[in-house]
Amino acid sequence: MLAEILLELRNLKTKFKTYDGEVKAADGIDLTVHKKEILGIVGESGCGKSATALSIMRLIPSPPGEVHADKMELNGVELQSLTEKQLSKVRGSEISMIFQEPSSALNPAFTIGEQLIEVLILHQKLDRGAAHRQAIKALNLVQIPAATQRLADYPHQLSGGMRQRVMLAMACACMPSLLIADEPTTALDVTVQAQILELLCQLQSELNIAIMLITHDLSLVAEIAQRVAVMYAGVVVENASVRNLFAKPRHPYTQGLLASLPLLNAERERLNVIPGGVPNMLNLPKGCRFHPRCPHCWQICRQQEPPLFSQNGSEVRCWLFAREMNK
Amino acid sequence: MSNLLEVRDLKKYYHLGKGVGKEQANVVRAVDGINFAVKKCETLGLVGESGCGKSTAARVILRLLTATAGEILYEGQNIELLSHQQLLPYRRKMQIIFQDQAGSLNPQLTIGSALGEPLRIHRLVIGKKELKAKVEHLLELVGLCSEHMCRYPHELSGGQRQRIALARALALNPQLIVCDEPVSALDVSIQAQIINLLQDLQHKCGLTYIFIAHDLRVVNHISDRIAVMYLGKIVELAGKKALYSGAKHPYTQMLLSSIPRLAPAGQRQRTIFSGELPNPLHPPAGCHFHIRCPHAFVRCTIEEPLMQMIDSDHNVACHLLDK
Repeated sequence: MLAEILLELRNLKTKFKTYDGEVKAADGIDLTVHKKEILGIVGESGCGKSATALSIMRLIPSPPGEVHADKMELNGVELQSLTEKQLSKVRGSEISMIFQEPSSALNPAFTIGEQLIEVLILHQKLDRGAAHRQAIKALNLVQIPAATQRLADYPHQLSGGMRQRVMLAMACACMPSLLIADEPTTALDVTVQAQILELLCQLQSELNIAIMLITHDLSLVAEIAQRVAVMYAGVVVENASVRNLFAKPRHPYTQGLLASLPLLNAERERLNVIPGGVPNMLNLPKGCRFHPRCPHCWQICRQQEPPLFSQNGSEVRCWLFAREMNK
Repeated sequence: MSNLLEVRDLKKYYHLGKGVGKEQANVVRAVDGINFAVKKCETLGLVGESGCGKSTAARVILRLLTATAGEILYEGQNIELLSHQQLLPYRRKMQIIFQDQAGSLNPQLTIGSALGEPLRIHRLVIGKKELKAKVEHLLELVGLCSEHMCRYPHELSGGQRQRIALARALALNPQLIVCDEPVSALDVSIQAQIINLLQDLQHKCGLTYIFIAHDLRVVNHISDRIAVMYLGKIVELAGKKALYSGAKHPYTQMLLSSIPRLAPAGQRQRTIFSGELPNPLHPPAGCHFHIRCPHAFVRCTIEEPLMQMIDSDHNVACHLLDK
């Protein structure tokens, strides 16, 4: 089952110049998103997952940011060569993005109807009446009850879950081919989180969009994604199908993350702990970035950074697999 | 084992002003008659969605807020009736740690002085030497070292700050620590470190915890018994095994089914419940949960269900039990 490639990202480097030195938020990221798939990107805070997403959207402010990739193609179009005008056409209609905090992503001074209609008029060149009808359709799509009345509501009149639905309606109104969801459920309650996840799955199958789900919660990815990329300190350390990753996590970091999650069935008396903390991005350890926290660290890990080893579509950045997998 | 803390019919109402054109002042019943007891050295988990009153309950128990009605019995003494002065010895026994570790530490105080402050206020140490030794001991207890003493909060990571908050709570040798979402703001790998630390300290110092969180996985891991709250009321209170394998209240079942599992998609069935927490200003009549409940019947819309004991350690408030 090899679907067409939608987004191809090769060797993405996103740097920020700070007073203390250069921070490489993304340091050579390779990612591929196929059409109609849900790709989960998992990592702890500061590992560069949001920086990667913003780089794809070309939303990193420069200065202090600096984005460079060998390849950043969406549907065969190199995003880095586009002008600002061409870009704003791509954003919203080809790629759209939703964020963690829906209340700060919506403008408090306009009704959600005005904000939704604006998107439709700008991108689809609809007239006001058609845009209004389309906006109601979009709200129905994300299962907001009494859509016509809700159009006249201001963001503060809606609950957090409803606001995130509005964001989704706005993001999907122009039928993008890629939706980047950056921690879409982190600010929500578990019951509402489950509803939003279900909605994401539905949107993906009904509208045939690909979703890049960025989260810190591995279990969310297990719920809805087909493939997962695990990130650590600016690099992808493991990239595999969901089934493979959870059945047989390869990278010691992935193993550690999975073992540190509390489980519901109370089989785990004590949580496994990854010792230490995330490294300072200004001063990364030499060799493998994970080696100071790794239980399997050996000589080469301290000296040389491991490349991505791959086998049967799974990729892992760890010297332990140098023999059994291909470079 | 005896009860360390008992809460009887505790209520906390907030009266909102009479707005223009409103006929009567609105009342938010943040905590609306909750009953529970915490035994010595156990962990009671308190879960619920945001706005269900779990944090308010915690603050009322510690008398950081005044209760509207009800009794809080600490070792049999109703602390609700005590004066400020009389309360001091009880303050020493009950401590709290918060979710926002950065906000709960004074940015202008070094870690050493932040930890020393409770000791000085309660006059538990004499002289600088003893103070320093005690602070060093506290830092060691939470897995940090004495070099952290002269640091400021902003120089530490989130996990380290939460350790400091915990050390400060431990400074007065408390019996009860209320943990209000202590790990919600932390990364997964750090979360595991803090949870393990909490468990170690419980064994070492004989602590009792009231552990508040919205994440049922974390609560289930650390607690002996769990109380599930919905709109200011406890709807189910049970030992964790009973709650996980035999949840009786539809809301508990809903919470359990909403939790994402570590099973790849397609390998399990999930029921999605619709609806969200109603406005606490106008809670539905009868059982507050009936508008979201898949099993609601006529009685649920009229009569409020009372807490019933169905097992020695399992209480549920739901009309379905009588059906």
